[in-house]
Amino acid sequence: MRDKIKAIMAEVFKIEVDKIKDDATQLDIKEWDSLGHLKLILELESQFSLSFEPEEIEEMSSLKEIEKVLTLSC
Amino acid sequence: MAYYIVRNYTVEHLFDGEHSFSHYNAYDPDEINNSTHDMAICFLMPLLSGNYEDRVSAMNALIQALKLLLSQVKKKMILFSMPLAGGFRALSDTRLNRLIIEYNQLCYAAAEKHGFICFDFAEFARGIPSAEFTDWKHYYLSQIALNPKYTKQFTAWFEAQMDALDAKRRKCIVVDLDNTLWGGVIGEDGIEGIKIGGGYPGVVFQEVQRLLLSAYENGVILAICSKNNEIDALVAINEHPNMILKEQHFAIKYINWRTKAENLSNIAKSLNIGLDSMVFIDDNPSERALVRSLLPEVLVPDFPEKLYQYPSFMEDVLKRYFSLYNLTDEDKKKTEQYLQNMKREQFQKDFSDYDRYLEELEICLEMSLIEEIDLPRVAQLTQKTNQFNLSTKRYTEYDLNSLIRSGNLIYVARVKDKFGEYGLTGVAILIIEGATATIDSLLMSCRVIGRKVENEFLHQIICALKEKGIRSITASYQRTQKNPMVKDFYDKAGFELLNSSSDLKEYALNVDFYQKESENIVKVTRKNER
Repeated sequence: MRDKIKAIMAEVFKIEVDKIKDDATQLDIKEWDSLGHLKLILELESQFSLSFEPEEIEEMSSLKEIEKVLTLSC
Repeated sequence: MAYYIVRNYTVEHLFDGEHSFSHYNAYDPDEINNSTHDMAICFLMPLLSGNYEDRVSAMNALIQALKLLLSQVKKKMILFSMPLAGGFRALSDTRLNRLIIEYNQLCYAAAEKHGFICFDFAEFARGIPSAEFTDWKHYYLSQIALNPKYTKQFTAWFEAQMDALDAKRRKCIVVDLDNTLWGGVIGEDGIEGIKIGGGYPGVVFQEVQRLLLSAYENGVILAICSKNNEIDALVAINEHPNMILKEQHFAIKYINWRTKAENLSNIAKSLNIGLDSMVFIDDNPSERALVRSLLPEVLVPDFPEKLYQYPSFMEDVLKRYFSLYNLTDEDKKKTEQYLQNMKREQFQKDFSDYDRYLEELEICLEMSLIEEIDLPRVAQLTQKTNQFNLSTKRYTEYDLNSLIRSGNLIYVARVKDKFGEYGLTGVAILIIEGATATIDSLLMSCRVIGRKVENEFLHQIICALKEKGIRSITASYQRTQKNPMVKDFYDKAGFELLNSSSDLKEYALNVDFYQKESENIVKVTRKNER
């Protein structure tokens, strides 16, 4: 799961997978701005065939939180 | 290729690459003309929510915006047509759709006569069930109009349009004969037995032939690749009374018993075109599989399952792989001349410049001191605003309350115009020390900037401070990754630059000498000033 999320993040942000650490948050990754966040959410929704709640979208500002929300939804 | 994209909803996720996007609803032709992009795209949508009157008024404003762009933009510009829209209204009231049609007619006419290019987004949108067109969650969270589920389809459509524009199209359509150009098998059924025209299913093949004929007339090369005795096939082609296509329409015919892959290679060689310029239509799945595996460059679409789907399938194939913006050399020359000379009297009658357009938008700015009820929204704006934010200081409601209690001033701005009401979208936090005020924070939501509202807001703040006896104002621009758009904002407003480093610019303004006048584009009201 984590690796898949990292792969999606790397693709959306156009950065190397290695640059995404396990404890990465929105503050650590320059490309993860509000537009980056939107693109990431759209890509996650599309790849996992899910629709996140607005509250979840707000919370998903770190790799850990994303993993938590996805684990609960899948 | 990078574009300058004029938009009124969020579309950044739809275009991969380094493009520039207009502010929402602020379409300054000079900004487009001065941008480094080779081409502009005008991708505007009708308002998709709200009451009918507001949507009609917004649509009127969008037509004005389009006219402004048509008269002033000096770059090549692609115009997207708009999908029709609905809304709650008396059903006899068709104003909104009439305005949308008017908008589209402007696009179509500009493309036909004035060297613009029109991409028929309305046609793309018709392929989406109206209940699915917008995903309301993403609409309200991120101002996305087109359901993100359709992003991939949009991208494919857009790329196909661009390919058509660059004439990157397939050139030749190769068809089988039996059960492809006619119903039945000529070698077994004979000319009397095969089905072309008349009722179903013959009518289906006749329709397909009509489509192929129009492809031929539009410059597509037709070819035949069929396993048959050539003599039988030619008799059918030349003598069947209901054949629409005649022998002369086919540039080349390979009617024999060799493999189709071999024949297709020979067709490509004889016509001197690449295999990647060819599309092969055959009802037989094993023939298709063979061609796909041996000649992967040839495009081999799946044949429809039901025969009655065949004409719409063929139309789709033609549209997808063969449609062109059929610009003759003369057309292209006209476009160039047009772009150079700017002979756009027709549109120029409507607009002389951006300012006049802005006047017509009836932009209203209401400035007031913050009230208790505004606190959550103001805190949210300081947290979230990145682009038009001079210092990017983040505050909580608690912080704001303490600032107010210490005698500092917080002004808020509410904005509306013909496009709609944006609510509380501007904040200025002023630290007061005697006769000096420091602009601690100045920010506006990206939904309202680009229309001189931001200049007017600052002007009104200065006037209000002057009335309160403030003699000097200090201010600073603190650079972040997101806010370079405001790096010269204070310079342009008449502030004096005191210090400048890469991350910080410090300014001062002597209020007594401040003489700037309101530009009278934005209508201002001031409320509740104690």
